Amino acid sequence: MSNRVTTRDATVLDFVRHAVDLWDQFWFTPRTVETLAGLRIFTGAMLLYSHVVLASDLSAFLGPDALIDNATSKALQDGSYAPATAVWSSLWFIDSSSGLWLHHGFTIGVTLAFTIGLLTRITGVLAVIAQWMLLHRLFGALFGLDQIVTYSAMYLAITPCGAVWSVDAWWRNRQTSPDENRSRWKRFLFPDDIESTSATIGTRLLQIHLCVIYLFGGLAKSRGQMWWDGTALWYAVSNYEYQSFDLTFLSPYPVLFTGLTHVTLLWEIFYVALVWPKITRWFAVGLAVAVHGGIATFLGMATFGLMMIAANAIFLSPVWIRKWRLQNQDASHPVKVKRPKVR
Amino acid sequence: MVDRATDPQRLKLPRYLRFAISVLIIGHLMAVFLPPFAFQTRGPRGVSPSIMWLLSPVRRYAEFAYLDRGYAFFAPDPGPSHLVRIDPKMDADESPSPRVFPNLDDQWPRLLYHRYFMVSEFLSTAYEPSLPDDAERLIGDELTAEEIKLWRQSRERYDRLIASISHHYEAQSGVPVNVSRIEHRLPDFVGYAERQQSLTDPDLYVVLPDETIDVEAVVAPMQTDNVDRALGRGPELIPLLPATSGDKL
Repeated sequence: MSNRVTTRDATVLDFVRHAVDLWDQFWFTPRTVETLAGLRIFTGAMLLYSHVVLASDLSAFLGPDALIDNATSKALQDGSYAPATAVWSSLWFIDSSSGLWLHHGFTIGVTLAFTIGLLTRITGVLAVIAQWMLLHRLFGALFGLDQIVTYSAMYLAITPCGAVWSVDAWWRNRQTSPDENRSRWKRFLFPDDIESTSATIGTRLLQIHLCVIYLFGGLAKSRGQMWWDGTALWYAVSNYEYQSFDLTFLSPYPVLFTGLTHVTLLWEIFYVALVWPKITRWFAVGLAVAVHGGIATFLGMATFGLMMIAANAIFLSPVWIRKWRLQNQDASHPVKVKRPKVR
Repeated sequence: MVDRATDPQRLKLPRYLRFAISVLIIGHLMAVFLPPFAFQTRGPRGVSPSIMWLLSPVRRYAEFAYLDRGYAFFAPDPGPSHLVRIDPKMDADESPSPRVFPNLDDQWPRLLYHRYFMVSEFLSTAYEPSLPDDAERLIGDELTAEEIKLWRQSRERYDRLIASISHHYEAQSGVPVNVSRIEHRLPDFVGYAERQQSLTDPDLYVVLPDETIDVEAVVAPMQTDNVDRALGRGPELIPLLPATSGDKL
């Protein structure tokens, strides 16, 4: 009897240990930053573009004379018309034009610095905070792009994504030799081009967040009739306000557009299951490129479509990119890079 | 064979730090997963209490970090677009030139146009018919004072948005304006294939009326919705998921 209990306890303990090992492997096995660095450049550029476009009509969206003025924007969140939220924006309190331009100039500045990888550890966090301030102020004027670009920037900000393809990397290589011991804060500010645990954590968080977006996007669609009878795609492309390329010539071909509707719905729901196994990953990501490419091309949302495609690149292994990158560097000229063992 | 995870050379962080970070990761993942889950569990009696209970520890974090989204893109079904028309209030002998947004001729690049589009959709979502002044006389089993209060709050919210948009255009032109909502309906694909009706056919644009609701007529059918309102859980009143605008593509 006691032997049986001991065996059972050992089995349970083994199971728990194995689960902890798997958890540690998933979240804490260090990885290199090439994928994140590429995503940093794309995310930063998209965020920058969004800020510059907003600047082209700033008074329509920020300030006391905006479509949704400062006081109204604040009232929508502070409990005036519904229970208060934790949302807060510095932009609610800026009424002067110069103050708004100063605030927005700061936002553009830190976003530009993040994009080019200048003091990335600091400017990444500042760019995210500035983006939150804008989002909470622009309530009512936001859409899918704002979500995915913000999440991408959030996760990048906790990683050493400025370790390569950045001003930080250039500065680090210029200032130090590969074997030099650098102080802790210098290693934080100008991270080495080596494997990092925080790179894995940021990568995993964005991967899981993408799965959540697709899962609930699919489940929300599955509650509608048109996504099941296959007509949803027609009603999306025949929406004049969305369309950037007229696809209404599809109307005589219901087999085609209903088929595309079904594929979209099933892909979105099952993305979470298809993207993790290597054997189906290319299928899941390939369909993501097709669906978002279609949205970018035909539904007038190039920014959103491209950003979603870029976010899907988070499933690309940095090992491949690193091999390609180091081969190219060897072919051109040697650089001062601490080379980790690539696994 | 040594498992990568158990290889101490692979894991740089000490165990206590991995544990602390794991707790933070789980908290963050709750804030990522539960808001869209809560959005989907909304029913006639509001959001599932179990989901709201799970969400409560991370709710404020989710709100501030902009994680409180539903991700209901083009869902549950793609619907018509909503536009906003601005009519200057002119003297009888002057011919007013109305403006409509979003408008690709006025707003460029496309991202700017889309921001205007989202404002017009947000206004449409926020619309609430006004209640008659004497609605309180119907307070009883079917309609509570709290329901009426929340209903009036929602209407005030809509009125405030209208006032803000009006002020924006009045500040630009110096002329008082009237703001109205237009629905741009979608043609059925069978009809479209048969008649080749233009997507911009004037028949597809409908000016949406601003009505005062007949409370006596709607109390019975509105019962379940009113429960939501009474509890502050209607679509426009859920603070966690404050607007469908964030989910429009």
